[in-house]
Amino acid sequence: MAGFFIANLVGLSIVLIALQFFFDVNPFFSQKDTLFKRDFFVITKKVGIIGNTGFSPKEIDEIKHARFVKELGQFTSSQFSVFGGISQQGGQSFRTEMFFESVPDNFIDVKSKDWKFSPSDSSIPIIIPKNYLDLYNFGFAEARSMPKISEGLASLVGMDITLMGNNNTQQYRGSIAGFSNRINTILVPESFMTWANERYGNKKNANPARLILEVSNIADPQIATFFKSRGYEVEGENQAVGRMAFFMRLIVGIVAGVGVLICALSFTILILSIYLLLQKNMQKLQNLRLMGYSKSAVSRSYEILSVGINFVVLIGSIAIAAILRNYYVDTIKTVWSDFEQTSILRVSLIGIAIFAFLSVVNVVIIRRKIK
Amino acid sequence: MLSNSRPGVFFDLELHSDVWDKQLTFEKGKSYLIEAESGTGKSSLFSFIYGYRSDFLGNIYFDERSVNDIPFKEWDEIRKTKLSLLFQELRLFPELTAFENIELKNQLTQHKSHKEIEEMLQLLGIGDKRNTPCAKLSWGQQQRVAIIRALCQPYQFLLFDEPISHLDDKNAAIIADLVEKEAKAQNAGIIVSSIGKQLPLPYHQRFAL
Repeated sequence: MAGFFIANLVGLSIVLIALQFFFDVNPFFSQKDTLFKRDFFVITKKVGIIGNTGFSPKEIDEIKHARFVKELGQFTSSQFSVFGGISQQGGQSFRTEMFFESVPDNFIDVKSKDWKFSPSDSSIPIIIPKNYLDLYNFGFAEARSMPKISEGLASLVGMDITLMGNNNTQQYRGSIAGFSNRINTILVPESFMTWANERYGNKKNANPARLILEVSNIADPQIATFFKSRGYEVEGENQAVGRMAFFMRLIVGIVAGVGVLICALSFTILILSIYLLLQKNMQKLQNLRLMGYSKSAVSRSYEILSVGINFVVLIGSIAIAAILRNYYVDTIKTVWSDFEQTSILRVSLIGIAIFAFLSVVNVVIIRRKIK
Repeated sequence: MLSNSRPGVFFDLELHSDVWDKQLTFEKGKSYLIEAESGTGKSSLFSFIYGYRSDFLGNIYFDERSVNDIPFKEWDEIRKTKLSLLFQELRLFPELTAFENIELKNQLTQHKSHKEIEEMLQLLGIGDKRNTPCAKLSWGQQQRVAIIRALCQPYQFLLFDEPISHLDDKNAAIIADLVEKEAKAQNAGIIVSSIGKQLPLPYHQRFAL
């Protein structure tokens, strides 16, 4: 009986804590800018003497169908003039000519609710490379003893954007929606770019100069060979990180696999315990049956017993999961400041579902075993 | 009623028996003695009649119905109200006391009052063992507990498989009196088996198995 109880408790606790950990950590894994989730390359053509003509549709098609490419996005350049500036009230102001590029939204590693544009808006969200901010903070500001700017502060700075082209001129406000580690350019939403190129552009459909690729396995040696043979250059997230990510994923997979195995084993132990319990008492059960006790009367006490134990185990495992969780929460917080605790409710519900399932299985086994 | 039946394990043996392979009817209100040597299928016969083994050839009828056709659920009822079997191996619960073992049956049937049970315990000379776990009783004492348990229900037939194998003649006589009286009260038939010692009853018929 004690063995049954302990096997059940350990098994269910492992399952619940594993699931709780999964739910807690899953947002970290599914964030787009992580080591774990996706691997990207930005590729360009080598700049030659006669200039860079961009990727032709045929070349894009070839890359798209390469075995290691999961998804391909094209960089779209602005085909109009952009002037950006910062004007301070009563102070200096500066203006500069600049450019925009856009990529499909699912390649962007910044999550922001402002990342959208409709023609009626007077403001454009912009993502700039994290590098730019770092250059200022750790290069310029450091050397000149000027204050450093945080991401949050930089986002408050408004820019004046002037778009010109096609005999149209229009003023917009630019707001920084985020900083990208992945894409080294000044990004605007693709919906804005399509609209603006239509309106201010010269209608020339230029070949994209850069492509962003999501690859299935960054450790695939074929990738490097493929790019080299065609004279493409790779920028962006470097390959060492990619390999690390690959091994991380592998390890996470192995750990998860072992976890599942342990769970399966403890459930097996549990079922075996019930068999054992019944087998041990088979003589008594049979005697009761021969005395005229009905099958349901004989099995009822065992059913109540096993369901009762399952219930106590359920409460126990939820408690254990909740306690153990506190230990890893602190550790996670030290490496991941954005960590948000998810409620234990979901895991409790899963626990209840497992409890219901196990109880049904127990009852079925008991009824089948008692003749 | 037995009709040309014999245990499955004896299927190819040459049997010389008053029971196996014969037409044979047990009636209510009468008592029967089945005498046999070990291994001739005495306990098997009871298990066939009591419906917990069906590895026999031929047919056994209970109230004109073949026992093999009676569903499980109905057997529960039959074992509570129509047939009472004293197992040769007794099938008592060793961790329960003498009284608890009897009460386990009685609370299912509500056939006897506590007082009646106490009286029977006294009568059979095990009144002082009322609260002793059966594991600590001698086989003879356990036999008496099991006999009382067998009487704690309504029945049409009492089936006693070697009821007094470990009892002295004095106790056997007391049991015979009690059983006869109890059976008469219900107009029940009694079928007793024996490999030597016989429960001293005025048997209507004797068979050699």
